[in-house]
Amino acid sequence: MSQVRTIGVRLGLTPQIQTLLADITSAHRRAAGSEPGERTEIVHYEALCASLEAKAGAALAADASALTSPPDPATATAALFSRTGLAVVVALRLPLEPGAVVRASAGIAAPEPASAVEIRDDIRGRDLVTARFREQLEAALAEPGKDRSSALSPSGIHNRVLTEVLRRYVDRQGHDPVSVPVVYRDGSKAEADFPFRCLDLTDRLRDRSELDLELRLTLLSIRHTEMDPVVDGAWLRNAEVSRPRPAAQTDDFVYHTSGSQLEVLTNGGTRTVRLHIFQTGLETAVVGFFRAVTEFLVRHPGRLEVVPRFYAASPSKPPTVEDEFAGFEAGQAWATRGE
Amino acid sequence: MSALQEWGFLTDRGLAPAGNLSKIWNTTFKGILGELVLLPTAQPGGRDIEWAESVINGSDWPLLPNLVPLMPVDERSFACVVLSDLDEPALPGEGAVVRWHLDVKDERYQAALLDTDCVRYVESVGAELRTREEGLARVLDEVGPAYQQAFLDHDKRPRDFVVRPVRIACQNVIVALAAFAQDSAFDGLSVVAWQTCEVPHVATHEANRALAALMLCDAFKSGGTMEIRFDRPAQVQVGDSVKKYEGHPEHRVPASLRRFGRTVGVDLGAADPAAISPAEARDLFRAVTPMPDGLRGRVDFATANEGIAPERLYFALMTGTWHPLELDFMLATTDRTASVVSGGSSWQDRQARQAESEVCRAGVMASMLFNRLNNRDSAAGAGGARVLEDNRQGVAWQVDGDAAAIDYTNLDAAQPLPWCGYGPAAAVRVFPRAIVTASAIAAVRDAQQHGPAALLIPLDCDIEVPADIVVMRCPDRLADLDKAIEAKLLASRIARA
Repeated sequence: MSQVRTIGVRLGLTPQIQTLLADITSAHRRAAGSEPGERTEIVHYEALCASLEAKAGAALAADASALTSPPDPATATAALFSRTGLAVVVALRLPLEPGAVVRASAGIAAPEPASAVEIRDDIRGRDLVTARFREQLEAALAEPGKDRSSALSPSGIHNRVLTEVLRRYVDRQGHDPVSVPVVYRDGSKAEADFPFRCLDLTDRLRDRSELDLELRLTLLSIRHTEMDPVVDGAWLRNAEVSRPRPAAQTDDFVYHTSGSQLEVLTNGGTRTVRLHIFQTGLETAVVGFFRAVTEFLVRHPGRLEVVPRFYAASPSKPPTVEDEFAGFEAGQAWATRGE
Repeated sequence: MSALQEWGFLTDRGLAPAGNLSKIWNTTFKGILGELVLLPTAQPGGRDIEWAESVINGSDWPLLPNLVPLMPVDERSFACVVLSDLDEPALPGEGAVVRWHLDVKDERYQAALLDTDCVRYVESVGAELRTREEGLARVLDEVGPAYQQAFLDHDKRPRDFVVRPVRIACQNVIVALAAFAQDSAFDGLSVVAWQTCEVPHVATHEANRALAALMLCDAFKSGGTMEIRFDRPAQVQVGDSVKKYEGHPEHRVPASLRRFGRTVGVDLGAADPAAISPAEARDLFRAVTPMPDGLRGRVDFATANEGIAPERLYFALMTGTWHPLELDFMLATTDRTASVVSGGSSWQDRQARQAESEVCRAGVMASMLFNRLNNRDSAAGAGGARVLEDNRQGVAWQVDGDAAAIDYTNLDAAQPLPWCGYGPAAAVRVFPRAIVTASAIAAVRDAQQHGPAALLIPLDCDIEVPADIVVMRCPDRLADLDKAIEAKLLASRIARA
């Protein structure tokens, strides 16, 4: 195996280099503001870095005296270079230098194959999925984060099952609060753990006269456009949510977006709002949204009521949009009593 | 058949009797097996061994003396049992079944292993044929039309829990059919149909290998435990009615798949006859993923020492996300392969990204060069019609990890090396670099003392290279390479659902 060497290369600050450095600095700033999974600005920043690194490589090949110590990564501008007077020092990490090197990760065996899930013949279909998900969640609640299996793993769980089971365990029921990591089956882990046993949930909703605002929203836009005339809007924009990226990044995006939207909608928890959420089956959106709802209710008890609505398939096509709309069944509300 | 008759039949051919073959000859088969199994003396309506031998010996490939025909495989090949010579030590594969083609073109495909034991072979063919009609009808008349109606007709893509049909064909001949779906009840793949066949123009067990590879890739992509079950209920909507299945028609790991497993040393269904366990799936995935020996060794080493889940490497190879040479180069030259095949380091760690990018660029350039060297496309030639079928040269590579160089061998010695002005060579040592250092130039210069060697760089690499160094300029610019790598990293990041 070849050796890795990190060096610095000194370049003169020609106008061309100065322009490139300015572009890299601004691209780095824009990339840092990218939404989770959004790669456009990152790719642009990396392309500019590659261009500067190629110039540094060529300069070093032409003049060996350009070699110097690399800039400190902690203080380097745009994580790549540092300016000193009329020169700039560019960091170059060279991984293909000749020579054998000890592998940093030597001796770590691959994870063992997963354990097979016990098959149950007493129940079937969605009941079986529900039972298995509850067992998994109970194990995670008992020892959260102990190992990879002690996490909430929502991938592949039907959105109704997911929502109902989450609600059941968010309810305090005399237990102490506990947070559980969320790990998707692509291996990605959400930034924030899911808070369980932290709310005293109630099925009794407020009288309409007590509400400041009541909205009927689809969880995601575009997915069921035929519903557009009969809802007030969509909670999330599908174009921002359904992107090719690790599942946890979508969860993070939905969580952060939902948290800030709830604050705006309730005016920082001073208005009382009821949301009817017509759900679609994207697990990451469901988990991210209800994590935000749970945390909001912890901060502002009684200020929010979320009534999830689940599509119940009909064997025949409903004749009108209203009929199809009526096919959504209301689930148990996520609501708490006020302080 | 009496033991004496059996003894005489084999000893007349100079062969030692084998107990397992005797068991077959003394079993009365009914139905299709009765028509297929060849006996020293034919059953009514059946055919005997001498008939098969006369057919085989009338072809371009006369039968080897230690093979005895057992049954036809297809219209142009026979399953034959390997027997030892009389009064000689037992052959290593005694009792195994190999496939004898009547008109194979490439000798390496002749006498390929069909099964490790002749009794198990006959039993497994019987089990396979008993449910073949039901399995075929299930895919062709139910799952296929349902899928067409629900998804293809509406230009929709199915979710992973939908029962999806799979068909593999080679030269317009269907060799494999299956239907499977991810089942969250056990977090694995549920298979309701699996049918394969051997045909004359396809290598032995290739249909099983290809279908197993596709099935395992689907199991990995769906993100479950990699358990694959053949006994779970499933249903599809066929027209106005719902068709329900209780797993695969055999209700266990299909016979043809178990037979293939035996030939590659993987005992499928050992822990649970109705399932391929996650551990068995890992072994099977390794067996069905084509890799040169050097790469296989590096993958095994990385699995044991670098903490890389091997399924991720097999998936990357099977889906073409990373070319075998790219992966071989990465595993040989850096300890960052685990990061790369998972999608790469964070962009904010520029130094880690630099290291990974440089290795990836070198690997991508090296694989482009391999494809160029290995391609005998005669487009520019004046010699008649352009033939595009199987135009590979058969170039081999070997990665030298310490030097970060690749030795290409078995080149077309009549052709000049591509991308440089260097004359014809049968082998070349190449140092792929996007950033060229003095040590790389010194390494190329040193290698040139021992044979053809070259520095391989991107098209727009702006570097003054000494005149004595052979330089290959890849047709892609640095930005093109990075764009291709970004696509590979994205595919790696979202590989699992």
